[in-house]
Amino acid sequence: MNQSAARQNISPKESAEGDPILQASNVYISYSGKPAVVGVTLPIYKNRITSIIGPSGCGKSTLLRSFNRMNDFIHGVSMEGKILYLGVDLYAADVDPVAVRRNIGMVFQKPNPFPKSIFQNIAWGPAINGYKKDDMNRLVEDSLKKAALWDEIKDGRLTDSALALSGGQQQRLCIARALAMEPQLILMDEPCSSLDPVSTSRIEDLLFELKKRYTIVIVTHNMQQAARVSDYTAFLENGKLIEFGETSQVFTRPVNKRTEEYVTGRFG
Amino acid sequence: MNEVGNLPRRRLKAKLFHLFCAFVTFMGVAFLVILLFHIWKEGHHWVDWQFLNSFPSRFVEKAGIKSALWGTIWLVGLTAAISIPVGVAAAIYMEEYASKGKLNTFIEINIQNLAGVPSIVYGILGLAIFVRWFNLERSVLAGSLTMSLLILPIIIIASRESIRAVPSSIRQGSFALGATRWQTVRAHVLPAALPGILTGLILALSRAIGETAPLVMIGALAYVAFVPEGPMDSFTALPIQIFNWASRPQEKFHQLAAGGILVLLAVLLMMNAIAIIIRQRAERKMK
Ligand SMILES: Nc1ncnc2c1ncn2[C@@H]1O[C@H](COP(=O)(O)OP(=O)(O)OP(=O)(O)O)[C@@H](O)[C@H]1O
Ligand SMILES: [Mg+2]
Repeated sequence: MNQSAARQNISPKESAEGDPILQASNVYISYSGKPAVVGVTLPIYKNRITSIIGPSGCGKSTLLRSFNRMNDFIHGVSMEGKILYLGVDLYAADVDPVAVRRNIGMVFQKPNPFPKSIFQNIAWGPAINGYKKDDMNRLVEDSLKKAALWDEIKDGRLTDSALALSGGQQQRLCIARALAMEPQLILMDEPCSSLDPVSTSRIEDLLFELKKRYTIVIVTHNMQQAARVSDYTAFLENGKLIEFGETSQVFTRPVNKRTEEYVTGRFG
Repeated sequence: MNEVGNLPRRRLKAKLFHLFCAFVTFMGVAFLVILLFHIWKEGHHWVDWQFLNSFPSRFVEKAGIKSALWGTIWLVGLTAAISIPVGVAAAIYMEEYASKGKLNTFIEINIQNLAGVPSIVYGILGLAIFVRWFNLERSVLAGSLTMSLLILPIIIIASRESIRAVPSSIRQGSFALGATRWQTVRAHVLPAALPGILTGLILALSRAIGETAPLVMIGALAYVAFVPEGPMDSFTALPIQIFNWASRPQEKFHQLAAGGILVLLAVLLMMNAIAIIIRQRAERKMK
């Protein structure tokens, strides 16, 4: 599948969405010369959930990390192409990667709360970014409410260690931590892969709730999850974008044969 | 099912190994206890306020350890003040900032080698650089700088290892919130690495307390009848004083040496206790 064909697979209906909040154009990423993402062009629309699916090692995480410059920390990584966020090229020389990460939140595959209290986990990000101390209690409470965790910890558990929470609660704490920064765009890399079905469905419910105010990109291995929660789906294989379109279309009437085979579970 | 056949033999082996380990551990502890008991028996009746508060003397009854004790306190204090910031900062730089290239590996191997260099070599180095070249004479500062060189590799290696043990997922979480590298190190990496760093510091400073050869080399005095009042004063230290007493022919001075060893051990234990308390606080905070 070459690249222009991949572009043709982008469904025509997307134009109804207006300008994308993030636009990746012709993105190439390689690790020490080994290509991981190959010429991906992909729009991310505001207040929508976009899922990125594809077989293991196809470059989903790599692509996602390039959206908030988390790849910068990996030794030997090189990148070409443009990623425009609200019209600004994230890789322009005058763009500070720290500022990029302040504005674009990220939730990781394994819950990674700081070994501190629940309160501090949420308050730390805003605090280092100059958020006023008086409003902090409200901000923490709001963030926990948005992440549907407040009810479970409001009874005096705020000062407990975050490590005492269950895995699912920890992951919602990490979501709350990202929300406290009031990002417009949140990147999630398989946020449910280490969670049980109940915690997973709680987080999926949460995603529906969050999409009213945030834009979400989620990498997932779970076809049902992608079909359930996302508005748009991007299918990657060997670093190439094979198909991108509305989720309903990608799952029911995929343009590409590989996509069809993948979403119906015949490989991957 | 094949396994059941040799299960009793494997059990026996496990049991024997268990006994062997227990025996070896016991032997180590037993020797230590015998040694300590011997020293205690020899020296404990010499250790009193007069002993701690008197300068050395030709007369056993009047002799005390004041100058050596204060010399050691000065020496360790200055050494800590010099080597801890430098060592921890070097470890942070190498783990968190420097690019993990060939140069970094080269430096790492060199530091590991430096940790194995005999202490007398550091003494010669200290004599050439600090005493002669920097003109610091036989001061406690020259001694501390020399000791700092000696223990820096230990501090750097231990600090690096505990910094490296901090899971990278914590760093990533911090960076993803728009933290700078320094904010990440300050708020997450250092607190998480602190228990391990402290263990390294205890080991390093304990070594500094016990070292004699480099001090002899840079010319710490054997007979000092005053307490250092500044970093430029000359000094003696507990191990030197102990050696001095132990090498005299009179039996009574040998007992004084044992008393000196008890004081040295007490200082060591006190330092370790403080470090352990700080470490436990840090660990409790992490949970
Ligand atoms: N830090 C790294 N250094 C070198 N190569 C890497 C690194 N991370 C990923 N790769 C390589 O880049 C390719 C894409 O990896 P990536 O992690 O983006 O895949 P993925 O689609 O997220 O896979 P998975 O579904 O298993 O998480 C893989 O071939 C992988 O081996
Ligand atoms: Mg991945």
